[in-house]
Amino acid sequence: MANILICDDEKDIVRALKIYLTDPDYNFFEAYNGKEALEIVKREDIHLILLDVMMPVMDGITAMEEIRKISNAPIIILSAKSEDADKILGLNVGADDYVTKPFSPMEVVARVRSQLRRYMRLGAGAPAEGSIVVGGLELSDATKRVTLDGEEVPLTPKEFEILKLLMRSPGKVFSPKEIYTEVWKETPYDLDSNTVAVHIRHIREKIETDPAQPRCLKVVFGQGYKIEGGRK
Amino acid sequence: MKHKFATPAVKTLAFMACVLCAIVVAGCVFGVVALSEGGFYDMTQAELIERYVNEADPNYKLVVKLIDIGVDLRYSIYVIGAVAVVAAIALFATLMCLSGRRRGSDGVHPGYLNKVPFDVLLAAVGFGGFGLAYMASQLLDSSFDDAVSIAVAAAVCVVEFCLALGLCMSFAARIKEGTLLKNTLIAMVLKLLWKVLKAIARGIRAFVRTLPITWKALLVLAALFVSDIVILSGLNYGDLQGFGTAVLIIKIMLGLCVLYAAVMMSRLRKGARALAAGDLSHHLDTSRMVLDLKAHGEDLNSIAHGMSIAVGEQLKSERMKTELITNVSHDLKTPLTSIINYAGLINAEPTDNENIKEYCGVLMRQSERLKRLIEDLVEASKASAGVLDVALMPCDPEVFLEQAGGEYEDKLRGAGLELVTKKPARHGRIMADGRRMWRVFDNLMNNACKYAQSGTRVYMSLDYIGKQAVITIKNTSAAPLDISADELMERFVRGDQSRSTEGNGLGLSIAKSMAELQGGTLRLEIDGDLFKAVLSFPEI
Repeated sequence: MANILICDDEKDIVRALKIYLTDPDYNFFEAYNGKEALEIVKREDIHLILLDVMMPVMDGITAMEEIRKISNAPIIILSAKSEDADKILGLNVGADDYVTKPFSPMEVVARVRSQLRRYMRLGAGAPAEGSIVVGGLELSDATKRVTLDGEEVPLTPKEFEILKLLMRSPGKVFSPKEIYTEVWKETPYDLDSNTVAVHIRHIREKIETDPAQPRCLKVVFGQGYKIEGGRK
Repeated sequence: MKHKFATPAVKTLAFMACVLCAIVVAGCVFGVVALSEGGFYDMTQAELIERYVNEADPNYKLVVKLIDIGVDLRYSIYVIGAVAVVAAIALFATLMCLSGRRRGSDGVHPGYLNKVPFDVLLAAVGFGGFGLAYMASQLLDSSFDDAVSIAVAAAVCVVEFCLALGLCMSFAARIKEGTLLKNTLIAMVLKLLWKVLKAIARGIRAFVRTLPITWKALLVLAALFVSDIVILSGLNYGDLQGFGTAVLIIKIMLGLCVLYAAVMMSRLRKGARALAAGDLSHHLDTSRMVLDLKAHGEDLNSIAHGMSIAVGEQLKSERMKTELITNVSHDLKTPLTSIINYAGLINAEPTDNENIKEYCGVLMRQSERLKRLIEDLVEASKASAGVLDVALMPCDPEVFLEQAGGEYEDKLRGAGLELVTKKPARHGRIMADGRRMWRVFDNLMNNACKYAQSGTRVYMSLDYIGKQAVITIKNTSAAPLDISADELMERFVRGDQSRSTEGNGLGLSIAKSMAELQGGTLRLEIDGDLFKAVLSFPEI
């Protein structure tokens, strides 16, 4: 059973999110400004918070600062502010994810699931021996399995090798040529094919909630690809 | 401090007392001289009587009386003299203090005498004294034997003393007022001269200033020529040394002038270069410049000033425009979120009515389109206002092609298109911002997906032409392109006039702005149904 707090000054949006997230395992709390949200977090045991930024009485950023003093629950910001600076501010103050309005409902649902899985799984046991962990991703070389927030992701052998290469050095940017030489080994690099880029996109479609805006397997356009652990 | 005693009566009294004391001092001095000449300090009264008194003289009694007085006074006269000297000095000091003061007031109130220039006054008193003395000596016998001459001489002395005392008082008052040097004829004449000289200099300067710089240069050259002639004519007299010195002096002066002009020119050039580089805050110091140099420097400064105002205004208006669009888009996004959400909910409701499903599909599609339009609108306005930050990094153009190809291969295939990538064997690098560059490729590839004729090929190629990396994306348009390349680049213009398909006509405009933000260019070419987008970036 997970307690989810939805906070937005638009009642319609709160209601729609509740309907989309409907699940016998979820229990909902509603707040229409930052102050109400803060009071509910103080009173109840909340497992996840969906928080709007521009709200009357107390805005989302201020509320989040207060909430972070008493709760470690994942916070997903839902905001019409889509500037980089707004996102950076939100994430720095303590948000775990940032979704811009207008959002696609299914994306929010997927992000809520992902954050909850990670939050509930936290401390559920150390990763297996010989496996690499980056953010919510865990790659085991022995079993050739990759799990995302505890759920297995089916990958082809080449995709697995590419992910392994990237996960060994999180944050490092690998150029397509480097990836090709490492993974395909013998086969010479074909200048006019887009093999690596296509594989990367397939992996992204499997592990990212929104493949067009990846959080984990990032495209550094003009340079290559990298894995980022994201925020703890 | 109020000057209690500085009344005209007190001043007059003090003045007269001072004169009197001075007369007494003078009398004492003459008395002592006369007494010692007469032997009053060497002889007793009896001896004096024996020497001077002749009983045959009918006035001998008077003489005896005079001798008596002389003997009585011969020592006390020193005391009287000393007292008179002290009194005279004290009175003199008092007069000096009182001069220029007025009872009940702090300031200096110079009298009518002080209006006269001091040097004139001095000359008047000096010459007046001399004149008086000369007249007296002409009128009288110069032996000073008789009582009349003595009296006249004494009177002249008294008058002169009075004049001198008055002069001293005026002097003291002037010092107090601080007008001693200012209120002199010499100072006035000098001042006038200075004014005239300045006016002449100003006139010459004004005249020279109106001359064009070529005339000024000619004037200077003519002056040099004349001086050379003068020096050369001097040579005729065989004064070689003087000739050499004159030439040296002129050369040194000329050299200094050239040096000065060179330094100022370099300063002007620096200022102009800063302006050209866009540094509008650069201020040119024109305080040490003259004539045309100064005028030019000031012109440069006013250009900088005017331009910075214009640039500031423009930036402000652009920023306001962008802010407005950002704010409006915020306000549009909130209701749009609800529309998208509830359209999705209606779609998820189980229903047998095919119409509802169809209508709901339209709602969802169009709200998605509205969402993209709002996002693009904000981006386009920011890109053209130049408020987007760009972080340029060295990038591989071939990686752009490979990554863009990888991202779009499946989508193109879905649209019935085949992607053909061509890269040269040579390796080059360009400066670009990956995120902004992705928008360029994203928009161009999206266009290809949307508008290319199904069953054709899309070509993406990279070439190095000169020092430019040129990326070309070519496709065959599905609809006939009866529109010019320039028009296509405009905002809200689309190749298909029907406006039925998705897209908002911002894509190419954004791509162009983004390319330009990174120092590159985007050019469109249309040849029949062939649509060609050419990106070119300078190689590093």
